[in-house]
Amino acid sequence: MAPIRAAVLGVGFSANVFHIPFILGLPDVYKLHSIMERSATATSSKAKDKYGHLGVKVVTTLEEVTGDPEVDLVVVTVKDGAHFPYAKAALSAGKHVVLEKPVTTTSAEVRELIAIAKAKNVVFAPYHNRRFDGDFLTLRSLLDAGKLPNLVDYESRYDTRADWELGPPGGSAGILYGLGSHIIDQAVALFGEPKTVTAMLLNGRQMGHPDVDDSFIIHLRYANNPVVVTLRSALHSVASHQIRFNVRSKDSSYVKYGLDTQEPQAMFQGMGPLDPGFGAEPESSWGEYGVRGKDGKDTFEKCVPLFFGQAFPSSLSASSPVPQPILCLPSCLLLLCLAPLSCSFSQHTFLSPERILIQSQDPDNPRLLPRLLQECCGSDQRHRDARGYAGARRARHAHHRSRQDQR
Amino acid sequence: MPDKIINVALIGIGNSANVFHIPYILSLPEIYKLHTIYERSATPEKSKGRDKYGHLGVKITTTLEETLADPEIGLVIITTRGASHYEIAKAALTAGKNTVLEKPITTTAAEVQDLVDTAKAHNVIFVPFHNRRFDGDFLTVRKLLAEGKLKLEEIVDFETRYDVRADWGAGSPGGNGGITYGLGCHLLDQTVALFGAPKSVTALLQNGRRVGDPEFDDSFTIHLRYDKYPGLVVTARSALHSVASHQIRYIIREKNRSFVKYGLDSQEPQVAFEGKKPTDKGFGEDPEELYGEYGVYEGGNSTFTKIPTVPGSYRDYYRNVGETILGKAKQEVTGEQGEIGMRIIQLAHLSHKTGRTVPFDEKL
Repeated sequence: MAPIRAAVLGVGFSANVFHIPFILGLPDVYKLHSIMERSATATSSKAKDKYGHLGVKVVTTLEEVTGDPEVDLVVVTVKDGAHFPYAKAALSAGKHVVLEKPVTTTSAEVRELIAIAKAKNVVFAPYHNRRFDGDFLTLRSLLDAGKLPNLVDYESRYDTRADWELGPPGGSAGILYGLGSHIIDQAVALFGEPKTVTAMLLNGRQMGHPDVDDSFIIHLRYANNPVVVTLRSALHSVASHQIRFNVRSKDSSYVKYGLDTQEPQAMFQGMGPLDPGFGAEPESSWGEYGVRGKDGKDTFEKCVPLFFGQAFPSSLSASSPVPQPILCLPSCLLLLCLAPLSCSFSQHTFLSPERILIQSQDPDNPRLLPRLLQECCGSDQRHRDARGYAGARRARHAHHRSRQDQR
Repeated sequence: MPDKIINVALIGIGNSANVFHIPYILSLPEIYKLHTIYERSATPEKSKGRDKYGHLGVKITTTLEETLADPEIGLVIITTRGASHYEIAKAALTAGKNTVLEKPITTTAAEVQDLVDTAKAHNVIFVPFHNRRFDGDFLTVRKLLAEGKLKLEEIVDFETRYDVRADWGAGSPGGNGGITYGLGCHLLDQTVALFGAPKSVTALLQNGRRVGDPEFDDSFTIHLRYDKYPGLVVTARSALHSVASHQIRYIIREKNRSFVKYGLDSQEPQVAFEGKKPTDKGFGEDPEELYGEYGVYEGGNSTFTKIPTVPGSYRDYYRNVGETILGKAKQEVTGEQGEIGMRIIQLAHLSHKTGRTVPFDEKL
């Protein structure tokens, strides 16, 4: 099958970290055909700087993308306000669309996009990538294995202490759209459509416009399922361990702490993978599966899930001695490869990211990680990746050592 | 001249009396004497009260009337089943006896108000047994507030939880059964002590373990909002289906500061399972691993300090009751606060039933 020719709208952080590397990392599936960079000029273009060497076409208007018969897939990573109109134009032009979240502002708009996609017989895919977060995959594997039967309650939280400014009111402003979209999507994936919604939206930090929420509490109840779903997010949460999941059946539970900070950092702060603190996690991020036995005793097993953030070489920093272009590509490939890895490993239910990291740092097995990359990606770039990653590993060793000294 | 010793009559001699009341009465011999135990099914041959406390010279009675008619009795402690609480308390107060009433104190706020009025009319005190005001974890929260480490006006969310995995029996709905009455009374009483009456109540109740009647609640989530604290959401939660190595107790968050604590107060298990006395060294103390964590965010960084838990002291509850009776102290746990708490419980049931947020002044 010929590769799918992808056009990426926008060349900001989202495009550079969450989309383009994955498209490039699956050369058997995709070809990065063009990038729409509205402010590109003949002499100045971020897209050309970064990807020109790959022969990527750089255009400056939406029409050049939607009107191009060589484009099969349009990845929409532009500002929130442009999500609906750009996606609508691309779908109407008969292009498949991946649309960054929040996909739109209203459900009516989403329904309209679905209808157009159906009519044009193309795919409309919301970029709800957190369906592939390790903690969520671990939870799904527990549910699929029947280890959390007849859920009583499901609590899913994104809590952090951040000074992000959330912008003026209107449109899809606020944390409910920004982070809520993900945890709501996860709940929809598990439980489907709720019967009732109870919610409180708050401005906890008293920052910015009082009508722009930076904190929410949502309860969902269902017609055919007695589970109570609680979704919460707060940007005013000072805690050494942030609760992520608290999911309980009568006699078993899955409790997970730790927040993958990459995406919200990226989304609101424009941080990049090489910025100091990017992907930094609280010291211990632990998930626990608990069971009450027939004898009335409780047993607990750690199930630290595979995290993008944990497996991401978060210790890489801009001050690392390894040249930047080589660093960027393999680290993003790692992200890419861990997505299918985490899917397949989830069959084993519990996976320790420490094992993967330790293996990759194993001096006796220096080629393990590059080999994992090869297995996932089948890339011709394997040799370049291996060299680049060896250097990155040295940098991470040094950083990891210094962090341990600080504990 | 030393204060007159207060003679105590215990109504009921079940687990509650033995774990939550008698040990503390006996730990304050300068204030109380355990005078009488009302044990309905006692006979001259067989009496649990006599078995346990006969050696202290305790009188065993078998009718409420003779108990309440005894002029020597200064304080009545009611520990019988929940359904009879209001009637017995009313009788005790009407007989001119200071009364401690086990939780859930009544079924309706109107009943609580009636007990408050009856106490006033007879110049005695009515004290809800909301002893968890003296849980170590709550005392620690109060200490942080007193020290200015947290401020009531700055709290954004106050989450208070009582989660266990318990096989406590389920009953029929109605009356004051269920966990919203049974444990909610404590969590809500603590919030009343801190924040006063709320503006609105939003609640979801469940029969999580699916035992007994489906309408019988063994799990609740209650949100409270306040006129006085417009930025605050209080969340009170309790579940009997919670399997966890660390049960969350408090998550209290301001914009830049927080207090997070796990685990439950140790006094009950220390008395019930470890045979400890309230006067023992280390009584009511938390192990270090259950110390709460105080977090401060400043200049982009968070620092965390462990806060040694203030020792829990139900003994101080009873010390305050005694000193109030003797006119030496102000009553800590008041009937008025009990009325507010009971109203919140009723509104929680109503909110759950009708699927809406109910205002505090909703007609009940």
